[in-house]
Amino acid sequence: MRFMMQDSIMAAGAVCTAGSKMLYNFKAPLSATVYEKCLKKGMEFVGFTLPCEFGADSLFDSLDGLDPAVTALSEGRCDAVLCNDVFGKLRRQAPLNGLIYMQPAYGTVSRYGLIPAVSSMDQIGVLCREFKDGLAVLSAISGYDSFDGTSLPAITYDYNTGREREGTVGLPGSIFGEIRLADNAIASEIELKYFELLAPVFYILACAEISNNTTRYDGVKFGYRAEDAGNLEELYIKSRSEGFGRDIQLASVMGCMVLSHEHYDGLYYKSMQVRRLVKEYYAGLLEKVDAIALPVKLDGRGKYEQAGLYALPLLGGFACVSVPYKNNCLQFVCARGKENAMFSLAWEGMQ
Amino acid sequence: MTDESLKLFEASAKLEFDSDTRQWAAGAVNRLEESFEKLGQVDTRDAAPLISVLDMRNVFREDIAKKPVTREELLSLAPEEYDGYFQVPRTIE
Repeated sequence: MRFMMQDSIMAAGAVCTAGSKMLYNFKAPLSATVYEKCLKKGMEFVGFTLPCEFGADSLFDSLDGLDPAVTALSEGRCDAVLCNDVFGKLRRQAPLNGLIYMQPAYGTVSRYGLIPAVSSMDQIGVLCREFKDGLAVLSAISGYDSFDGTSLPAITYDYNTGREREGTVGLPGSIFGEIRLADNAIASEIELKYFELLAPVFYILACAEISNNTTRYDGVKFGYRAEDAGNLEELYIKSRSEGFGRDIQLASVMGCMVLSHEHYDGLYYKSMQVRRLVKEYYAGLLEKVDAIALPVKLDGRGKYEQAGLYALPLLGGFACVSVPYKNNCLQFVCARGKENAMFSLAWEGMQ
Repeated sequence: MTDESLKLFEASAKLEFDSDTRQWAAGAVNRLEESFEKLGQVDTRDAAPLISVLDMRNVFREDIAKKPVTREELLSLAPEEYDGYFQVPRTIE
């Protein structure tokens, strides 16, 4: 099995940029746990793919270039790519290009050695062509890691599943018109409660966390340093303004805004409260069905209006998988512990 | 979002936009702020803030020493270092 990693996951000694000029010369001082685990399983590492800066591609625009991980896999340069897909680019692009993106539940896969972007939602997943390859890689990288404080205590993960298992799929009628399911799926109508709130909650929390996570880039300890700074304050400002792209800059500024005294209660704190409601509602729903199915894009809606599709699993810490399914491209979402049932449902409907 | 507010938050973030970027940023923030207003309509009186999706508290690992990244390895990543320290421009005028 040949695998690649997004250039935000570290391999000791190799330059790791997270797609940012700010880290153009950053040589990783350690290796990510997922990298070590893949090597231990005898997988062959064949290189990195360049993500957009901290994974936040055109966060505030509608542009959306093809992700190099999708290109690398489509061209057959590897069998799987380890990625961190917070903003949904891979979950959207993978099935549209005949590929699969598997995202484990939060806490399942170690994030040690991943350059953080949105810590409460960062989670390493697997982009692959074949279901069996993705499941093998996911089984290899899952499991407890004492170096990650969000790693769930020792549980053995075995995602070796077939495609025949029957299961119930929650379908939100408010989004889908007619949809054809595979023979192993029993449809159950669900209400997509809070959907219009998911994008604002996600943006507020994501910007706050990006803002915090990028404070470490100051031109002093590693990475890019601007030339000709007259004093330390100027060094910080020039290095950061020249080193970050404009989406990350605006996310950092917005993060400062939502965390400011003026906006903290009404935006940041409120978003964390709404996140609680969202998590509890969908966790309850996911007890009644094996998975929820969502489209990977909504025609006629802008990027921001679609952000809820990708935010839903992350806000609840649920697992998901995006696949080309029958005549659609779908993202299935499930609770932790029900992954194999979800994978089976998704696999059966693949073209 | 006014220009003045934006400049204030730029300063907090240790960033400085040029005028084109500031204009683009103000437009983007203003568009988002409209949707943020929806949050105010949600009744969250009984909802505790969700800080982590995992119910884990006080996470420790066993107290076993492992090889840390060394001072030399970390300093080798610095843009400038001098005699075992990070070097920065003069901080006292």
